[in-house]
Order: sequence, then structure tokens, then C-alpha cells
Amino acid sequence: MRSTVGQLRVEGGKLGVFVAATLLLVAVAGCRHWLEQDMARHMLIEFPLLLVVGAALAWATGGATRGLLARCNALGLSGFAFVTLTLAYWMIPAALDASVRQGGVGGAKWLTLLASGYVLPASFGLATLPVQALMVGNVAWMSAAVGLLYQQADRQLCLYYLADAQVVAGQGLVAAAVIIGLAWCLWAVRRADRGHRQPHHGPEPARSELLVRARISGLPGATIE
Amino acid sequence: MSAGSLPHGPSARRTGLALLGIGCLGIAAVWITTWGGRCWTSEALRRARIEADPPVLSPLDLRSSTGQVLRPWGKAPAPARAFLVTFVYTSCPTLCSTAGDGFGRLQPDLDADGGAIRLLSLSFDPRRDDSLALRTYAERHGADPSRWLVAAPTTESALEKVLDEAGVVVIADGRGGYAHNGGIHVILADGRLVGVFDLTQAQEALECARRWAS
Repeated sequence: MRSTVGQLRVEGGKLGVFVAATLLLVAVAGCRHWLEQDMARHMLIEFPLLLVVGAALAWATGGATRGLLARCNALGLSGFAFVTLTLAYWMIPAALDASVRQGGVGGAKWLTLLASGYVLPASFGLATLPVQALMVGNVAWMSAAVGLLYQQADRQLCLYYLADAQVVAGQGLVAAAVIIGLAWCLWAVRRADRGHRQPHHGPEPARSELLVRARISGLPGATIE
Repeated sequence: MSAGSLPHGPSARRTGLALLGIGCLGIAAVWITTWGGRCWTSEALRRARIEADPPVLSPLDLRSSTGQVLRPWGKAPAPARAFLVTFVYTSCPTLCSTAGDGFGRLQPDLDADGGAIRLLSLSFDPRRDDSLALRTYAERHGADPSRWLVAAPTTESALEKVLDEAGVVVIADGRGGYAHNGGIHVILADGRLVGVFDLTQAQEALECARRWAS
């Protein structure tokens, strides 16, 4: 009885998150013109919002695609590669301009960012700490480098954004890089600390997640139910 | 497989294939977007595309600072075999003024071409750039009407079409002015846009015009 109630709560929670994510997506779509009018809003608000919506949808739709994705995402490598390439691509000035100018390219940007958000939580669950460090470090370094380039360019890089907006976006990207790096470091330290204090409370989350995925994908040696 | 170890077996193979696919897609997308890795900005891309395949601009009727109405390209007989064109708005305090100074210095060099090549400062703000504003701009930069036309289009829709065909993007700067991708555009009498040069490359633009107009 208790497990049924718990199950219902989880399902209710998922439904709530699904509805909230859908509403957020509709809101972002409604504000698209405003968001994309300014380079900083475009890159520092719209991009993260789409990632968050994707991640929320992944959680809400849970088991539907998790097993399928896990089969080709050992250690979260494929997911991380997709996310890194997607973010890197949309930081290219010509690509960013095209996403504003051409509806089809704009749609592709939305789809790839949503998909990135979708695969991100599962990839983090599958990845070991060093792989996560590689991914986070890579994205942070890339954002900081692009941010510095935006700030130091002697001309307007994007046709649809003013040089002033480019500098602000560059500063924001550097700030985002620092925040992402620090946030992950704090999280990793806390996780390591918790694992150190409670060594006998079962496997750590990443390992547990990995083994469940391994069971789903039918890997040899995966015996945990 | 334990956490932390390298993946192996079917999962590793599928992951490897997925990584290969993602990598190929990423490289293809970047390759296409950046013209084979050569152009990372839209302006560089625009110039490369124009150089590779010159677009033909639609005809555009203009009114000049001297009150003349003319169609610089797309109609025979054309007023010149080639035009060096800068897109401006006359109240611009920076780029368009620099463009005007550059054209002012270039005027004497056009005498060698016997009128085959002319300069054109084309306003993309025809509402504010009336005849008086155009005349003031022309006088400020010492424009000789026989070599240098300062003009605005008679219809905004035709202007928008030409801007779109040429890949010129004009955006409001939030201070009552505009920001736009500048440069000297080499446009032939038949409307072909054959080159775009920086404002500091006026001589190169003139050489390009001579090459195409000869």
C-alpha cells in the first residue's frame, strides 16, 4: 500500500514536472524574439533555459528512453560529446547569426539544446568523477575562451548584435564559466565528503546508476537488480 | 564492468559508434557553416559567397542629392560600368562619416577611368535622409556629382530587397542611429555584386571595379 502511494507520488511529481517544463518551453517560445534581440539574453538566458527544459523533460519522461540512451552512452561519453559540440557550435558567430536569420536554423538550435538538456542528467549519472571533470572543465574552458574573444574582438562579430552587446555577452560567458566550474567542484567535494563519511550505506549514486544502466543494456558481469 | 573502469563489450562498441556519428555530424555542421573552416563570422561568410558566386541585385530607383532620379544598375544605358557603393545614413557620426572621407580621397583617382567607374553613397534611411540631408552630406565630404552620387532609394521595399540580396544587415543601435555591416561594394552595371572590401581598402575596391569593368 505504502509503495503504491509512493509510486503515485512519484508519477504525480513527474507529471507536474512535465507540465511545468512544457509551460516553460511555451513561455521561452513566446519570449523568443525578446530573448534573441540581445546577445547576452540569447546566450545566457535562452540557452540555459532550453537545457533546463530538456533536463526536466528527461526526468519527467524517465524510463521511456533511458535504457535506449544508456546503451550507447557508456560513462556518459556520447551524451557529453553531444552537449559539448552543441554548445561549441552555437557559440560560433556565423551560427548564432544564422539561428536568428533563418527559422530552420533557429529550430535546429532549439532542438539540439533541448536534446542536450535531455541527455545531460543521464550522462552525469553514468559518468565517473574524472569524466565529469573533463566535461565540465571542457565546457567552462570553452565558454571562457569564447567570452574573452567576444570581449577583445576589434569589430562586431555578429551582424545582429551590437559591439556593446557582444562585450556584455563575453563577460557573461566568462562569469558562467567560473560559476559552472566552481559549482561542479563544490558538488564533487560534497559528494566525496558524503561518500567518505558513509562508506557502508551502499554504492555511491554514480556507481549505482551505472550498474542499473549496465543491467538495462545487458552488459556481462552486471548482476545488481 | 565496474564504475570507473573503461567500458567494454557491446556498450563500448555502441558508444564508440555514437561518438563517431556525433563527431562526424559536428564536423560537418561546422564545415558547412564556416565555409570549410575559413569564415567564422557572417560578414566573412557573406564576402566569401559573393566572391565565389556574385549575386545579381534587383534594380533600384534613386533620388540623388542634386535632385536627379536615376537607376544605377539593371537598366541600359547605365550611368557607369561599375559603382563603388557604401550603404550609409547621413546622420551617422562614425562609420558612414569615415566612408565619406574615404570616398572624398578616392575621387581624383576616378578621372583615369573616364567616368566608367563612379562612387555611390546609398542611404538606407530614406525617411530621414531627404534631399537637404543628402546635399549636406555631399557638401561636407566634397562630393563631385559627376564622380560621386549621394542618393536615397525612392521606395523602401526595393531598398529592403537589395539589402537582403547584398546581405547587408541594418539594426537599430538604441541611440537613434543604426549599426550595419559596412564596406565598399563593387556593383556592375548589370547589377552583379562582385566584391566587398573594408573601408580602408578603397584602392583594392577600385582595382576590382577596373578589372570587372574593363
